[in-house]
Amino acid sequence: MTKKPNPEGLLIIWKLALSNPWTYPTFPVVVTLLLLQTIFFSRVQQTLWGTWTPELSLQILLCVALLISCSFLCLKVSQRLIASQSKTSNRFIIFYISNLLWAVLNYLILKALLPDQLQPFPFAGLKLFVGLTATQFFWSLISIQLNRELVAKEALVQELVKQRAQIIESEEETRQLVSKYLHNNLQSGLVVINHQLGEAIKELPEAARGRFQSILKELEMMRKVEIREASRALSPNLDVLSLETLVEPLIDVYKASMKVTVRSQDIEYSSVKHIGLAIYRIVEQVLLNATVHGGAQNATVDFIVEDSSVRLTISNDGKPVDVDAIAFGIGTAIIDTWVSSLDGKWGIDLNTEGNTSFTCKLAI
Amino acid sequence: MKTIRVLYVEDDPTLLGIVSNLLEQQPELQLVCVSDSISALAKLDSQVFQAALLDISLGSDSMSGIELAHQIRRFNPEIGIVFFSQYAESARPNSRSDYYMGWSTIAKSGDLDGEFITQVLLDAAIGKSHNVEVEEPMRQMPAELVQALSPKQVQIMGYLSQGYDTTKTAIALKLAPITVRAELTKIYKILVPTPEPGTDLRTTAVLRYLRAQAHSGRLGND
Repeated sequence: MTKKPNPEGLLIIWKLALSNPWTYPTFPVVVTLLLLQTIFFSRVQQTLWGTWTPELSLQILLCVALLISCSFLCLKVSQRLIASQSKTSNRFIIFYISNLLWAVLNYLILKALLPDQLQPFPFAGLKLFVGLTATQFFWSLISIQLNRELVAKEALVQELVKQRAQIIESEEETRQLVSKYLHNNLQSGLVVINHQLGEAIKELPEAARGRFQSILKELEMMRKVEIREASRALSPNLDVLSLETLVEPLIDVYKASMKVTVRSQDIEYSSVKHIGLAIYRIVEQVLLNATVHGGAQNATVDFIVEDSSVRLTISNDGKPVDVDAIAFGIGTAIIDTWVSSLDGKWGIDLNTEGNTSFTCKLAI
Repeated sequence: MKTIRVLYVEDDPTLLGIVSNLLEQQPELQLVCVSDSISALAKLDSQVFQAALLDISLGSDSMSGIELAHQIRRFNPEIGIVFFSQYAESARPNSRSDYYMGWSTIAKSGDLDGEFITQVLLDAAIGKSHNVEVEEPMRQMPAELVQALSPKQVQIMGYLSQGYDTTKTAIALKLAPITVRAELTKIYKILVPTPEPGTDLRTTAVLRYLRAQAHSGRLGND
């Protein structure tokens, strides 16, 4: 689908460019001016082709170098001065005065350095002034348009990040709801039912008792192991004694393929409980990446508290990742969302042993 | 006989009723029951307890049993703490510091044993700890054991799990009943390797087989 131009939007950009002609980028303006001057003199050069000498080349080169330096200097100083002023009228005065000075300076350089045949034409100073102002306006127009598009795109990215966080939050809420139902309602209910069944079975004749006790035992096993694990797989238990206990179920998941060691330097869990879910999900994703993408066999999870934040480092002995080419997949998106939601920072690096090391810092 | 006063905190009213009934029958215990952490802390103001029996999950609006235990220890550093929960292992201490003396965990289960809970409470009151073990063998069990069955044994279990008896299974598989019985003896050794006294082998084997099918999706009589 092609995007239709919006006349109202174009008008706004024109107005913005007219009222802020100093919002141009310096480098493109200087290059444009040089190009315009080259085209302007090329006709004269054609007529001089027969009398071309190395001295003439040197003269022109010197002239170009001086023109570039002078243009950069003038435009930069002008932009600095304009930025220091808060009143629009003052800005316009500085803008036009500096353009005039640039035109005079350029005229003088051309006059002093170029041979007679290439001397500026009548009203060259005025033409230079008009040329500069028009170029500045043109680049301001482009710069404003690009900035508007950039701002709009950044807003879209922010919205996307916000929506991603909302999706994860809502998914987490649903998981917690089902997990709590399994734990608080179903499991507790089954404990009571199993107990009552057990009491009832005691009253059965000896011959029938064995069969019902076996059924009860299997039912109890399903409650203790399967329902409990389903509940824990949905949402981790945050009511734990330490960070080690918090991530213990994850160590258990990878026990067959990867040995995970956790060190937490006696961090008081109550001080990090409010970010426990984020810590759990981050560790979960990093360990998953280490085993799936890196084929790691050993991993170390370190928690350190420093300056009202917790630093989490996870190193593994898997295939080292190309730090500069980490693909932004679902795993990294989940990590990024959790870390961003706590105004934290994260990164992946290679440690001194060449192992992949994930680090993140979360405020507590 | 020496008795100890125990503070029991449980937010599930049915469990609170059943467990308190069980424990009130124990002459060594003097039980005070509450259903939330605020009432528990209020009780500490007026009475002295030698042990506390705490559920870990006390509802979303309440502090957890672990947080409550720390608060209780601030009131009374000597008190024995016993967690009685389905997530009991989450309160198991990693450190051997003195703080965790008399800090115990018991897993909630259907076969609630009043005497066992009492013993753990009495031990906790004098600084001894008892901690729940994660039930490792159960985790590995279902799918792996069924993989050890031969195709014929899988077929037999398929029919038994549908309620067929030995004779009907034998007819369905065109086998002699004696062969089915011989295979069943082998199957029990695989699916119920360490039966407790009184275990009904066929029922246990069928239930374990069905659980295994749920894990592996393999059906015997397809």
